[in-house]
Amino acid sequence: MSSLKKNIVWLASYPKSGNTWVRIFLANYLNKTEQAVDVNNITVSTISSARRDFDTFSGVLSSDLTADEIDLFRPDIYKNISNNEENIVFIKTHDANHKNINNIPLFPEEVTLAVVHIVRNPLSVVPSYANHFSLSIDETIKALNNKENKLSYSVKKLTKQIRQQLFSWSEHYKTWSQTKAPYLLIRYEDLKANPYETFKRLILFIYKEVDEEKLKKAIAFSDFKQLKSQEKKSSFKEKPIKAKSFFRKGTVNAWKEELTEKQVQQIIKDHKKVMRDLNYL
Amino acid sequence: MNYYLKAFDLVIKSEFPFQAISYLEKGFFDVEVVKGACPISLEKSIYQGVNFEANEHAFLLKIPTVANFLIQEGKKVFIEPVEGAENREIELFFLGSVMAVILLQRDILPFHGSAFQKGDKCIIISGKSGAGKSTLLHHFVKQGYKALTDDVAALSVHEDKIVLTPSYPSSKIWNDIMELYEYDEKDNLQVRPSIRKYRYSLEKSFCYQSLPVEAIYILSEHNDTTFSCTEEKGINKFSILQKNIYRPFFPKALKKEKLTFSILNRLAQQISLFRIIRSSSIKQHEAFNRFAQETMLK
Repeated sequence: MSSLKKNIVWLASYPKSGNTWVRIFLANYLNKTEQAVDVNNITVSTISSARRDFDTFSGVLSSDLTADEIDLFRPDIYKNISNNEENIVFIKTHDANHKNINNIPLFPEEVTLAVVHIVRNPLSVVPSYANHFSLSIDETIKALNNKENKLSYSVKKLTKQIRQQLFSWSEHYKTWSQTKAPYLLIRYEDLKANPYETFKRLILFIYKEVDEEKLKKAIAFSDFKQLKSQEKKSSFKEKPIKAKSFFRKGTVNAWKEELTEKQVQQIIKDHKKVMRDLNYL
Repeated sequence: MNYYLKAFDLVIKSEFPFQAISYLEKGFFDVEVVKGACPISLEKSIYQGVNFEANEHAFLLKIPTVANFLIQEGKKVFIEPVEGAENREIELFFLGSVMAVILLQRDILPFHGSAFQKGDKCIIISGKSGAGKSTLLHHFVKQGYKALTDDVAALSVHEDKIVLTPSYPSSKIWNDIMELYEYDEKDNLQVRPSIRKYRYSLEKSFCYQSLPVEAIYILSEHNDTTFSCTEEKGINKFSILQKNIYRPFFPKALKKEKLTFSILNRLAQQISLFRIIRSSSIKQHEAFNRFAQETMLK
């Protein structure tokens, strides 16, 4: 591999926190046509847990490796993805920013240009996560407080993606907020309340300059109603088969109707410190 | 002690007793497999990948939890197992990535797919890991069709045609698929102690004859209850085939790009290429198998 370059922007978030929304916005901002980008064909970014990327670059198939072995190769997989791309590569990830069993960081600093960390109030994450993974609200609350919470893990069958170790919602936040790379924190709630300012901040952070026309166009094309209508017309490939829709409500206060007072108090008890840091309390 | 084995029409003399490939009489061999130390890296390495590197004569594959493999000129393989690694684990990687390198070094292109016989030709089911290639292959096997391979499809030119050389009469299937087809776990060995994927013998339903390729189906799944099949035509065919080479960076590492281009180019002209999409719902499994059978056997 030739010398390493820093060209990966990690789009890091807990699931159901607006990561897809940000990716669709970026795809529209970078899109050269006057049409909205097809949500089923977002080519500007990949996902850190994509089995296909792993299998493309690795010398062995991921399906013959254990999850811990896969993690041993992941830092080098990302270095190869970086090496194969001249431009900035956006990689969505739900993994916590952690190390593999050899104590090597999964997301190598040597190829990291920046981290965009998207967070959402856990009171809103819970109902959305429950819907997406077909869990009950109480199961989801437990999952968000589980230090070993993970996605795509099974020894009995081949999972669609490779294992992602999320950690608890609070721990996940801490691991990414402590990155040494250039770091931008984006709150879902700010994207909702002030899309223009927040998306502009994102573009300036990555590209140092902004094309106002493209920015406005991209915000309009990634508007929640637009995404919901695209999903209604042609379905969205990232929607699990059991979930009714991927783009659900996209609101910030729906939890008030979806959670009981006891459930709200439990989530606050589990994540009080980080919720305070993020001004959710 | 040496064992004589056969895979991809190559006789392999091996110090390792691989279970999945059949035993032969002692004598002539094409490939020799010995236990021995592998270098940490190669001299004059011309390509460095994630866990492999290559120069003009050799290829070094490193799997830190199982073994290192040094593959020379398609003829000799040194294996340096990690302490505690089991033979079945070494065999798993030998029959996959290591054989892919041996084939390329012998000017045979390893394509990612399973294949079954259809008349005097064969059909390849390709697609990424988890697409359902083995599951669909086993459906055809259960219907009486003979398998030619279930992972690596060895393609080469023979009498102006691209033919597939059968691999070895064994398949790897996950626990959930074993349950689906009501195969008994007890009859089959796990490929690795930590992964519930099993070796399943195809000896009774295997075609040992090289056959020209008639069609390739790129299988994928979607989160919907429907399925579909569409034909790809024109220049798209080449790039689709290219994406489904077994370990796509191996030809570049081994400087076999010209060979790859030549085989895929001929293949694109020779075959019909389809994208076939199945439902990820297990409830649709039987209906999809019927759909695939009707579509592929037309």
